[in-house]
Amino acid sequence: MNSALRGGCIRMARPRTRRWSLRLLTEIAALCLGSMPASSAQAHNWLGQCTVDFDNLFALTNVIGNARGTFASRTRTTASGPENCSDPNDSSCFIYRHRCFNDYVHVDELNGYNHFHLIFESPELSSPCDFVAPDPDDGFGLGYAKLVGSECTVPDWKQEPRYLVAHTYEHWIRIRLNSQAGVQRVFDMPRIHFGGTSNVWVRFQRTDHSWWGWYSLAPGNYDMSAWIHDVYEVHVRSASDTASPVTLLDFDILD
Amino acid sequence: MTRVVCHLAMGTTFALAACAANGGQEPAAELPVDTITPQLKVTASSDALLTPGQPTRSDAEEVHKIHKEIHAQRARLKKQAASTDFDALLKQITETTDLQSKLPLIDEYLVAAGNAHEATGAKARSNLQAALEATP
Repeated sequence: MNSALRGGCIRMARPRTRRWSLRLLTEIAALCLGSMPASSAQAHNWLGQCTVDFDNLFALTNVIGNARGTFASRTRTTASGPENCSDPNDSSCFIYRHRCFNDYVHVDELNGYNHFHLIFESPELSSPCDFVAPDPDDGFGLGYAKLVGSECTVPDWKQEPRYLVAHTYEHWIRIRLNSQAGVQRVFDMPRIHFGGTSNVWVRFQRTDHSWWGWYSLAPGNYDMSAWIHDVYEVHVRSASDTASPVTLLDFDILD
Repeated sequence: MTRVVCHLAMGTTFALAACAANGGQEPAAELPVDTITPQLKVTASSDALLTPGQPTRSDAEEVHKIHKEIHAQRARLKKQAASTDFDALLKQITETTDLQSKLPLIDEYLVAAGNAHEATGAKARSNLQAALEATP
């Protein structure tokens, strides 16, 4: 992936020429035949592309405790600061919220575990230092220390690159795009990148409310531009009930 | 950039950090092999793009089944949280000295706190924080 795109956004011009009627007929024909038409993302205007790689400063600043112990917990912002939120249906709460132009890419979860793990990419975090001692005593709990030279130091957790690992194998991770006022937006996901070794179950909801997906994709970096466009939500989990939790490295969103 | 991705079995996500800290190598030998099964994958972020085949459309029955399972699990977690003895679990956490054994217990505790009544959950989290701070 182009390193210039990682963690940021680029504005892209939208093609102005469209063959709407032909595309519509193709889609109707494909749906009648029970298959999904492959096409590039063309059904709505978009501002540009954002790459969500779990390293975003805004997102890590706002999640409670900067996910310092790897726990990215459902968070509510209050006048007195962030606090835990237990209601998966509370639209004012979030787990990992990445700003993408005027909207938010929300990565959260469905099962009620109220968290997923944002694992540190740096091998200098955690063992052998384990948790920071003494505790920062700011009310947000213990966080992993970082080995610098031979010293265990207190890192700036929000600046430390991460990747996402679900809580358990059956844990669904949900990706949505909302306006800042919480209104659901339609988006495209041209690329998604899975790590780990377990196959992944991916499902997405199109704007006609139909659900589509793949029951078992091997880990890897996928070009989804032909399929995941004009969607409300994308859900991912491990493909097998005996496998490890899903590992999500990064993905692109067209807003 | 090359990322080292350590992937572990259910309920042992905390041990991922140990694996990562070990340069992507198998975690320390003292980790119980029956609960932690490290599976390593070195993944370059510049991995070549793969193209999936045609997606399958879910029928209404499957969509309903998935959503029903999710709601049932949420209800199950709430029920479990209501019957969780936070003090006993906290005692178990503080008495466990090995970090890799302690972390899944903290995971369990926090999931229960998140699904408990809001005041109970807040108190439980506060108690955990105090106990961990007091633990050498």
